[in-house]
Amino acid sequence: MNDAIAAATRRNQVKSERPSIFGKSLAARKMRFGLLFAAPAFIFFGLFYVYPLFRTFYVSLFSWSLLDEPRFIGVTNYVNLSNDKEFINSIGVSFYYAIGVCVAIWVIALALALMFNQTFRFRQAYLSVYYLPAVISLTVWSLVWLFMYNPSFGLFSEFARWLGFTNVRMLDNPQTAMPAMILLSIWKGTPVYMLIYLAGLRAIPGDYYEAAKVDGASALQRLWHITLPLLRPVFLYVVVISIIGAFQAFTPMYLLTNGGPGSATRVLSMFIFQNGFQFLKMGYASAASVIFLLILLVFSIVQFRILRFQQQD
Amino acid sequence: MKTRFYTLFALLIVGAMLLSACTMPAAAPTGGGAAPAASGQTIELLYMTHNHAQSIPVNEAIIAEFEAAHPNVKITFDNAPHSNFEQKVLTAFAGGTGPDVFWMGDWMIPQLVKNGIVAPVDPTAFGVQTQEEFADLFEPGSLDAFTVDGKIYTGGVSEYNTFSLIYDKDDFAEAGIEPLSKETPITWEELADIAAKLTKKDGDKVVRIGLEWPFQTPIWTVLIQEPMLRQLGGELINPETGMPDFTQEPMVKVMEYVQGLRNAGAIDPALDQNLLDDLANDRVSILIAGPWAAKPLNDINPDLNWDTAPLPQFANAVDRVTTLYAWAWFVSGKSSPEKQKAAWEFVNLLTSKQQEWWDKVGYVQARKADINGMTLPEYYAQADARLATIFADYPYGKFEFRSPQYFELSDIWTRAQDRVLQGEDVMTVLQEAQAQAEQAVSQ
Amino acid sequence: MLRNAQRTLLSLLAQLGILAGAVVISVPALYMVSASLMSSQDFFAAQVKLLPSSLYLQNYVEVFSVFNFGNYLKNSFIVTGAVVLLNLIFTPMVGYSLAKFDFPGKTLLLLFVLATIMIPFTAILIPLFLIIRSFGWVNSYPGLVMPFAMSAFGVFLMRQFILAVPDDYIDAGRIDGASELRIYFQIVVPLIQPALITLAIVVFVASWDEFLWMLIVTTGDALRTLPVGLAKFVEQYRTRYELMMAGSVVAAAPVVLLFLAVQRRFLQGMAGLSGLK
Repeated sequence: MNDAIAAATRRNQVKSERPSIFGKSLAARKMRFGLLFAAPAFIFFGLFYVYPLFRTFYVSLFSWSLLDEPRFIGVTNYVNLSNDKEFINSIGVSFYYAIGVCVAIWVIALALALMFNQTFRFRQAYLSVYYLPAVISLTVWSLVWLFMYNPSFGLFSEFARWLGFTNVRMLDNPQTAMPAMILLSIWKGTPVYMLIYLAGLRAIPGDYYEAAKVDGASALQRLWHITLPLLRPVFLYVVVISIIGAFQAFTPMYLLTNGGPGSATRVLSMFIFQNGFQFLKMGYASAASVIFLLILLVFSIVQFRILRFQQQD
Repeated sequence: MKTRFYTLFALLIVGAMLLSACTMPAAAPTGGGAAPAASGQTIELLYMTHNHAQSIPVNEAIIAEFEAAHPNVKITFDNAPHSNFEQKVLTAFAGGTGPDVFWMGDWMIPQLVKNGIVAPVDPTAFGVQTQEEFADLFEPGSLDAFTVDGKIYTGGVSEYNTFSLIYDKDDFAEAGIEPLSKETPITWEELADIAAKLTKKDGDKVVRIGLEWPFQTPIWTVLIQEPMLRQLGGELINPETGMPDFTQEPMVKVMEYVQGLRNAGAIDPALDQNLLDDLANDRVSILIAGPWAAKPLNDINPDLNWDTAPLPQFANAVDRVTTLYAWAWFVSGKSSPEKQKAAWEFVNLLTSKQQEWWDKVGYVQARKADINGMTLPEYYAQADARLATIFADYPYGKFEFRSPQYFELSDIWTRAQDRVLQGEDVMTVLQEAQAQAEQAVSQ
Repeated sequence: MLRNAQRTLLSLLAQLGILAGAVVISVPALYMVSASLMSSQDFFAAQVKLLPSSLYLQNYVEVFSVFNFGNYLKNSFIVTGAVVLLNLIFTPMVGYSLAKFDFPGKTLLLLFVLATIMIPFTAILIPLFLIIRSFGWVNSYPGLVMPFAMSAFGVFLMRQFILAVPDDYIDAGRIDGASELRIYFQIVVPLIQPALITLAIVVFVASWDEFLWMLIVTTGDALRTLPVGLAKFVEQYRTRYELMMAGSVVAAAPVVLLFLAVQRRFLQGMAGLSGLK
């Protein structure tokens, strides 16, 4: 307890002692260098992404069909969104999809990475095979699965039939349509995160493991006390990025079921796309984008808090 | 520290929004450069079409011909993938790089005309003086969808379509069903029976389905269901109130019919892959499709023994109704006067190539022609006698409902169809669809 | 003796498991290759088909001769090559500064980066297009490349990896009197090699598969990339699936080759930092 207070006090002291940027001290020199290295990013992200983002905030206060003059309507879009059952539904559907895909990826990708971190015969060849789903474009991947899910002629349905299930109609059934999307997304998404975990594992100094072995730690103990804590920054990345990526995905839903059956797979990003570019309600879509952003922001802040914003240990 | 940060952030947001306000494009969709070209200088036109593979060489040949005859005009040809075509055109207009000449479907007319995106036709480019004379150049009724407040907003239809039945005669023979009459339409009820009989199963696996159409594409839902609705005397947009009405009696009947098709096993939404390939490879027996199907079917499978029949009508139909839809050439109203003039002349050339459009692309044209002494319908009929049946359906055709919210309403309609096909109660589904439709129209 | 047998049995089972996993994982990809070798009749035959009845190479011929895939391939290489190069230069720089330095505006930049990751692209498509247009970059290579010159995902990834680099190594460099730039290039960069390779792969694939922006910013086919080419197989009344499968094999091949080329480096990577003094 006292340690925590002491650490916090030290942190505050360090913050308030931040030197002037024009100083001659090492700290000041470091500050100038950090700013220099970061400067291109300020300009780049500010110009290409943050500025358009503010424009989106702005447009959300208007009614705009892309073809006409925007008309100022204040917060009407937000009010309408709160009454829009399709919008509420799409948020729920997106959550369902995101949780389903991400939790599976967090676990499977880590397991695979741990496996590939060992040496074994044909490891390189296997790694290429396990990475395969990632190299195929998402559109084509989705269409391949469209065929695999065909109730009569699809591989998936044939396989189900071989296992004894009949009448397997994944995409036609509101209960199974989203699980079908989740499955194909896990299949496609896992390899990339496996690589990221693997890169993280590679960066853990071998000495630590050696020392632990000398101390008599078992494999499981090494995993729990060395690997996982040291993987924490990478794990934060995987968690945050996978959730955001899952919310943004809509190609599979668009191609396989067009949001159906009914609205069972109409995710939030698809709602935004449809309203903006099909229904010609760009202001409405922008308002939905703002809410989308807020949801992800809240999610990310929570994850940062849980997994610790700054590397402390 | 935190409060300082958040204040800074808030200030930034406000500042940037003020900045945005000053530079908002206020949707000044200029056609690919509204700057008027001085006479004698090159006029650059941007021509956008969607991607229909066979149409590309035809378009390119016509462009070359036009450029040769008009040395001061340069045409850039942009064909975007069909599935993203509308998005591409809309973004181009919103971003100030809109096309000068482009294809677009008739259902976009309310939005296009309302916002001045399309210009009224310039008859002089077609060699006539008035709008009436221009209309006379085309089949009667073909320009109806493009006429708003008496003004015609297109230079001509690029493909003019109705839907009829196209079916596999061998499948019919195999099932012991008589070929369909070419003069008298069967009833929808009869179609349901026939299609159910034609479905072939292997255990629980459906190996061939009786009838198919793209169930997830909103425009198809409208093209298939609207004639049914109108045959029963209904109309999606109530002519008196101007509001959509999903709960009207005819709509209930249509949805119940579609649900019945599913229950009888005549259709199966999850099975369909590729309309034409499915028929050609014996995965389906009957299609509801247009004249554009003829050429591809023969290309995919020359052995296919297909035939046509008129679009079915309900037994107690109030009127015989079929559908009509068209893609057409438009000239941007946002382009400069010089560009528009050149554009109309270009469209004139495009619409006068009726023979190429049919022979190489399979698109039915509406501009009257004289090909070796034959009128267009005669020419098409001698190309393939089966098409005569489809052409007989045109006079009963009506274009889709007009609404600025066409896309949203057709999407609601499709989702309702989805749910009905899942077996949900028709009335409940339609009531919820009605609530959504009212919300959509009122915004 | 028993323990040895147990271990061998376990290892055998493990090997079988990995093999089985590999087979299952590659089923969709194998199906795609198989479909690319089928004629449309084969593909739509009213039966389940895993293998083509005969090798039909016509799809590949058509994809290149009729559908202009040579051009798309060329453009994809140019655009993706440029994007990967720019990212490899700038992204680690930014990640390093965010991970190891404290400067005014640091949290703001991190927020910029996170906001960029979270924005749905459809929402900023038009404002971004207007900006590119104001630079005169519509239908030009800079217009295709510049919005992706720095990947926000990449910056975040670099930050997380560099956070894991022990400060001692960096401080040691400072004590030795090395300049900040030297420290970056000679200490930090070698230490994050696996991360850099991962970055290159991830950015490559993302750029290679980018569709919407490539469509919107280009006018005409001259500069279009593979994803746009693939989308063209979805025609008005018919989708040429068999051609699309062939096209996607063509599109996937360079990515596979790239991965094969770098993965050895990746796996060797930094087998622990123990060798560094």
